[in-house]
Amino acid sequence: MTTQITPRDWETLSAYLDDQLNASERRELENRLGNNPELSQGLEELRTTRMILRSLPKLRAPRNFTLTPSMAGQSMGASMFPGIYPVLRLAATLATLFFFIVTAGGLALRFSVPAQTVVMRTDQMQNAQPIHPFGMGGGGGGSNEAPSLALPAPTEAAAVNMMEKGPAETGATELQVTPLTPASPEGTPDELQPEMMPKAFSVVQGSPEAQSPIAQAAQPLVQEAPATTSQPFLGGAWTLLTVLQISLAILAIVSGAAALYLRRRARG
Amino acid sequence: MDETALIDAAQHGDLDAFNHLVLVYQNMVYNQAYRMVGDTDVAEDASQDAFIIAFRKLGTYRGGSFKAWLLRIVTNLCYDELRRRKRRPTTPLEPTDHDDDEIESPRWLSDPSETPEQTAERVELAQALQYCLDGLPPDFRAIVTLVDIQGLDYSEAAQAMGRPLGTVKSRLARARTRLRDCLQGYRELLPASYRLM
Repeated sequence: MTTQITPRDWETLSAYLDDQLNASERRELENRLGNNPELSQGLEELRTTRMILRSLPKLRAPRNFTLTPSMAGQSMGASMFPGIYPVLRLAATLATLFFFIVTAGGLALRFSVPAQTVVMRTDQMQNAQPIHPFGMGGGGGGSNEAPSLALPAPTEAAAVNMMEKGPAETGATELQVTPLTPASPEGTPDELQPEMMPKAFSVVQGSPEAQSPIAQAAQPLVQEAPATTSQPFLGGAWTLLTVLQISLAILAIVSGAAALYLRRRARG
Repeated sequence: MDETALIDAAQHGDLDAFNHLVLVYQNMVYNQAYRMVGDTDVAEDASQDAFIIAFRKLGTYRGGSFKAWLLRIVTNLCYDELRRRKRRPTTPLEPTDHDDDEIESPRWLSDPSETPEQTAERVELAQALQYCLDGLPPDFRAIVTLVDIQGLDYSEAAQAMGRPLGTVKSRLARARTRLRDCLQGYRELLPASYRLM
């Protein structure tokens, strides 16, 4: 039994047996082995131990461990398409991200645009039809035609005419609006006369009869008209946004479900 | 097909290619499992599980020694089994028959070319050595099995253990020293040529 051999010596002897020492370490150890019988005996004991270990019979596997398709089936999906899982995962993540971005953008756009968009065109003003100015407003924005919202701007003559007739003649709910007579007969129908509008409105607003029900009824139309901008593209934009949202949602759900399915099969 | 081509095919889902690899390495994997757990049934289960896991995780194999990669899988499974056994120490280490009687000469240890005395001598040696191996800490048992029984070099053993090379050297030396001490207690069981001084 060797008692003076340090753990470091045993490590060196073990490495020496496996030829894992460099030239200088080997030379130094061989010098020590020549002068130290205990160290030599320790080396022989380690060599014998290693020899016993190596003499152990190699066991044969009691059966073949080859995999049947059913045994491997749990992981076949992921193994047959090793690159598809990360792609599906990325697609699901990006689709979800863009879905929220598009939804947030749509909401922001919806709140930034007035709820009622009035499209005013000169040609519509000239071909004005009787309308229901009150109680029917609201929806309908989004159509390029938007006939119910194409409100002709009241003119001085029309306003005076209406006020002279009074509510009894004009009816309580229906307002007959006389089309604007163009200041210049040669003016093209599509050309709005911006200088006319404030003038006509100021007559209505500044007249003593402005407090009559008809004048009050006309007030919102008069105030709204100058602020109105033409946005015929909005209807298409809303539709596009909705389609985009639905597409992204479907992509996120389908790719996420497929990735989850592959992952569960891969884990068995 | 060479090993690299088989691995590549198996990574693309070719089960036949993977089964070729299984046939090449199944004895090695089973030996590692048996030397680690000391029980044939558990070693068999661990070997089968190791190949199933290997097929499943084949996409994570990034080159290097495929043998060491397989041995790492089965060694880790054996660590799990030893931890489980430590919590519920009920499994006998010696092989038993259907009546739970200990089998002194298991069928897989018999060799028709040997005399009964030689067989007895070899079985005794194997049993003594397995007993000493079972007395080692799992890390020591794994390293001494990998290097001295499976014949891996130090770098392959380091890969199979997931340990640095220096750790492998020191643990192997300590494992051999402890085995030497253990085998000295079985001097009478050892053949004369193997008797330690």
